[in-house]
Amino acid sequence: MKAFIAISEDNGTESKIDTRFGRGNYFMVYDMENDSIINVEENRFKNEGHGVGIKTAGIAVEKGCTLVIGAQPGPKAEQVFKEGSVEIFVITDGTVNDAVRKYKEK
Amino acid sequence: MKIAVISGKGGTGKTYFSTSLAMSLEEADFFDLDVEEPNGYIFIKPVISDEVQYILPVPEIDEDRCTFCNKCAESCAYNALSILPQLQKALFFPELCHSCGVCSFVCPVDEALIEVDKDIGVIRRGKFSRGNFIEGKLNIGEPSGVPLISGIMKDHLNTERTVIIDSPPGTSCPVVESIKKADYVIIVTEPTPFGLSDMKLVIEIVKDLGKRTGVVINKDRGDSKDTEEFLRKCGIPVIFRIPYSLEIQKSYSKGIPLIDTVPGIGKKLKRLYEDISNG
Amino acid sequence: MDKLKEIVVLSGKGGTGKTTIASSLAVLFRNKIIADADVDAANMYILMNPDNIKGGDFAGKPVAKIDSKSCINCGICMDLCRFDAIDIIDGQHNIDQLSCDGCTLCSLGCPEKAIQMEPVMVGKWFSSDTEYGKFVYARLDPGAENSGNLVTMVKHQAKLLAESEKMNYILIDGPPGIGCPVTSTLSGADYTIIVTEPSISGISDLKRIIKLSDHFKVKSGIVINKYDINSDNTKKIEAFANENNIDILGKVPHSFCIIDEISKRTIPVGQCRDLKEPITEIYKKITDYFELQK
Repeated sequence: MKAFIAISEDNGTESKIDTRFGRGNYFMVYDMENDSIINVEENRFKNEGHGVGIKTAGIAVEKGCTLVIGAQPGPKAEQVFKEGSVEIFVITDGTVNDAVRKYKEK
Repeated sequence: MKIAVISGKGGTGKTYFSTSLAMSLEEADFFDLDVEEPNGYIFIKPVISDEVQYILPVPEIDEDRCTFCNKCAESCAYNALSILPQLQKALFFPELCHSCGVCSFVCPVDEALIEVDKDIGVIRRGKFSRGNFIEGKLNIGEPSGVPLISGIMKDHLNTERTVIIDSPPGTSCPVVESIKKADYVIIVTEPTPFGLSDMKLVIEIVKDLGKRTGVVINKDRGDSKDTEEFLRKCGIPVIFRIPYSLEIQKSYSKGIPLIDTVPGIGKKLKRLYEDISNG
Repeated sequence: MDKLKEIVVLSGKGGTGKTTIASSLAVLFRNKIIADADVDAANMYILMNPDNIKGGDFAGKPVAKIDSKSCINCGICMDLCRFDAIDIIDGQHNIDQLSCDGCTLCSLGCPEKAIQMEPVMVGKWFSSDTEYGKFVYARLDPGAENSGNLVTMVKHQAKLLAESEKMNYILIDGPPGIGCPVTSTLSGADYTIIVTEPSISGISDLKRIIKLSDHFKVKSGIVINKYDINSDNTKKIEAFANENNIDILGKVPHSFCIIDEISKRTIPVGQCRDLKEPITEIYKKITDYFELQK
């Protein structure tokens, strides 16, 4: 299973979770089975006006992610995730490691 | 003569003044362009004769024809579309759409993306004791009142008639849109630091547009020195004053117009209009 | 650390006393960042007396510009534009920056590729120190568009500050109306304080703003300002609140003390007893609500 995580800095699995979903500084795609980072890219949309969450959610779905870990997405982004049957796990602080551990413990 | 009444700050008495100005004249049309919160009807008490939806085009995507090339979503400046090729899904978010037509322009497939009608608000028309009444009311959640305002001004403005326009508050686009076609702009202010600060901003707008302007000081308690001094420097006249009174506020809260609250004020308003139209 | 909470003060109708209530609450709340999101007509700064002001420019959505050297005046852009933003001035097609919505259609349709999208500076944002804590505000250039984006910017700056300073609350003075700037203010908020007055206009606008707040699933409470101006209408507001399960947070009487204090550019809660009591009650009800949410 691939997870999509919005992070505020690019620091491997020690990266901090961003408190904003659509406007996070970086996006990480994470392999939950092998506990490894698939890739990290900068968020090109974070300074756009409205509907940034929609774009971000679209990217997550297109990358084949079925799980989103991080801040609560807005209602429109949520709609995109619903279409893609993506699970949302809300967590607003800590690092990628912490968040993944908490997800697995739940 | 077309007179737009603006305020910058909300709650200074813009609607209260503009409705009584219209009611003081023998013949005038009243345009309520404060489309987010149109309240002029409370004082004007019009008889409404028709109500039409104001419509703008928005995209509708036929998922059977769509190739999910993503050109429409990429081109949309408002992020109102999301195309998910893997899922063969096209999502549209009408609250974000500005009806610009870019999506249908860039779509390479015949009839995959067509434009359909969407209500953004309603235009109510009717009569009041002095002439025609027109009001625009924006649907809740719509991003901008500008198309509704410009639509009303384009379709309903009779250049032969005297028109009093109640503009939206604030200092941004919708205000500009509502005063573009006005011959004269009245700014209603109150002599508080808030009123003064916002008045300075709207003065910049009317200056940019090169409109003849005068200021009405409402809620005047004889404490308007700062406001007057600023206006003197700008060369903008104070054309009317309404005193601060608890009686007026109570009357306002019940929906009784200024003209029926203060004896003799109707004549003064009529004279004000004559002075303005005689330049 | 407690989760950061965003409290927004809105009104629908302008001039109901939103800034008076917001600034007075700013005196009571501890561990908060204060923000003025009424970027069209920002005037909370008048009472906050900000110091040590830092900030930056705010670029609006890019707008279209015609390069007159490459333009062949074919008029295609003018036909395409749905915002009536293109005129002919002295025989040359020209785009009015105030009317351009930034949709890019003219630029896509121009056969000579003579139209480029260029960002324009439409405002400024500031962060500052005040007696009551850090204060973020902004100013949109008169006549400019896009105040929704500037609101998002103000909220974002306030949030960054709140996180770095480990604050519990962001207290936001919102814009009037129900349009885009209000939507941007509401999005992500935890509590809306709606300041209304017992006039017919006040009530009608109150209902519209409540609808919007419900749409965003934000918990709301009502403050009735100048409640003694019209007791019938005050009762109507209370009945409306009751029917819709919305708390009445407090009622503030009409008071010359408040007007006088604002004229002196001071936050009226310190001097006006009429205001102090209801503000304390409002503060208590909101903090109790968050306590219960834990």
